[in-house]
Amino acid sequence: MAHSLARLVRSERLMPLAVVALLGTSILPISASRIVTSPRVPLLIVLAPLSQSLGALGRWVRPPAPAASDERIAALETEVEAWRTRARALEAQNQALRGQLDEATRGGALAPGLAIRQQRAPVIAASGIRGGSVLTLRAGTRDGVDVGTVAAVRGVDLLGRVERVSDRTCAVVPITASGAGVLLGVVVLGDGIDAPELACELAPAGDGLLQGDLADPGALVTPGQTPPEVTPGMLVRLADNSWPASAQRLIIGEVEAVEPAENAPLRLTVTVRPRVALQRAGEAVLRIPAEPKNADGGDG
Amino acid sequence: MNWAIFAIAAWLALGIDLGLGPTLALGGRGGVVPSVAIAFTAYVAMWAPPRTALWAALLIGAAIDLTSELALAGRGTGVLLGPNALGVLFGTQFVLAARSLVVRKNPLSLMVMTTAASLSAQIVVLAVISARELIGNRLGFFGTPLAWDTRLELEERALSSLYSGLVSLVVAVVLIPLTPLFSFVTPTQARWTRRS
Repeated sequence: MAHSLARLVRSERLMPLAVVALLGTSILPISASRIVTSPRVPLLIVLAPLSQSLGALGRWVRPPAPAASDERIAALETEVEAWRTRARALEAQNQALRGQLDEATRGGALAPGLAIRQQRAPVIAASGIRGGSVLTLRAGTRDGVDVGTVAAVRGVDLLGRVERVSDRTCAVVPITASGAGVLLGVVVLGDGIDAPELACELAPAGDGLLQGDLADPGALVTPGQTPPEVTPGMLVRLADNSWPASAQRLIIGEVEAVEPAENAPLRLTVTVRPRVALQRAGEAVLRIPAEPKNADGGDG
Repeated sequence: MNWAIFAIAAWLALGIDLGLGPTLALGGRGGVVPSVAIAFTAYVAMWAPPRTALWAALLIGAAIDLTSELALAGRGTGVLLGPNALGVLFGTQFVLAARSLVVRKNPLSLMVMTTAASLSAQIVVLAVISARELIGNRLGFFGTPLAWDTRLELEERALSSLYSGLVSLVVAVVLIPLTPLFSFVTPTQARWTRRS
């Protein structure tokens, strides 16, 4: 190997050829560049042991989520959130089923129930030209991961969805990354399961935040009543039909600020911060539909 | 140059970039990150014969390309092989041209060279991707455009280059004592070898 490398280095014609070839691959369409970027997966696998260990060290030094004062309280809080998420998902599913039942009585099809297998996957690389815009997880098609599979952090906080998948790895764009697109969510105005919800449309706003328009709180009450107030700290959950059913009602984050829109003072703009620094997540939970994909509702 | 030692050092540098990048990132968006891989390339460029240094730069640049996933506008991601490879190659060429002006064993020299090499590399990366996006968007080539903001990228990359320069001080402290392991052949040594 050393001899062939030495011969390669001595070759005078090869360098200009390599430069021309690289210029060519730089302007290839992304879809066509998959052939030339095929060494990516073996390279990531070779780098994974080191990058994963250093990543763990880094997260120990600078944790992505604020440290809880008491581990037991933190575990209980996570459990409560998991149950709340499950209850809300069941509530949403219940509503959807009621709708489908209505349709079924009119001759429509009745979709089967939702079954999800949760697969833990460590983050082996946070890459992207703007460091951390894409997370590479160590789970791939052999684990049942597919394009569109939903990824969460701590089980209930929405991370993003799988955009590329290979045999052993997959790439997830966090919802806060600049290319992640718009999300539809609901601000939960209270702690109870039947607490009212207010729709919002969120887009990445930089600095790990999401920002967008909030529906008019006045629409939740009859005229003359005081509309509910959206305050910092309220949870925002996903309610977006373009996402799979396995992602519905996962937590997007907490309300950080609510202020009048710059151009239209009567409209409200909400700023949401995920509860975990998504770009620095060390592990994700992939929510893989246990049923065939077409049973997963949404776009799968 | 001993390519086996080079491969191990490159593996370490790329692993550090991938693993510690998010931790070392400045700002919430994680845009300003140092590159140990570029600092290592600058170190090789300061010691190795020119052609060896250029091939080493090409290999490390290609590895940076392959480990960097780019977000596409709208939805999806992609990998582009080329921009970083060409950028790092250009940065190395800069170091090769300027290395006779500095004292190689001084860590500050590596700091200056890394900053300059990284800035040069980032200018090429910006030029290649911006031109690709500009032409592609105008003519409808290249499929889905990248989530790319040239002004923001320029700002983040310039700051990242300065940050890489600072980090290269640590790299210098580690690598300079290890220089004999790399078995670099300087032009003077090569001349003497040929005579004998």
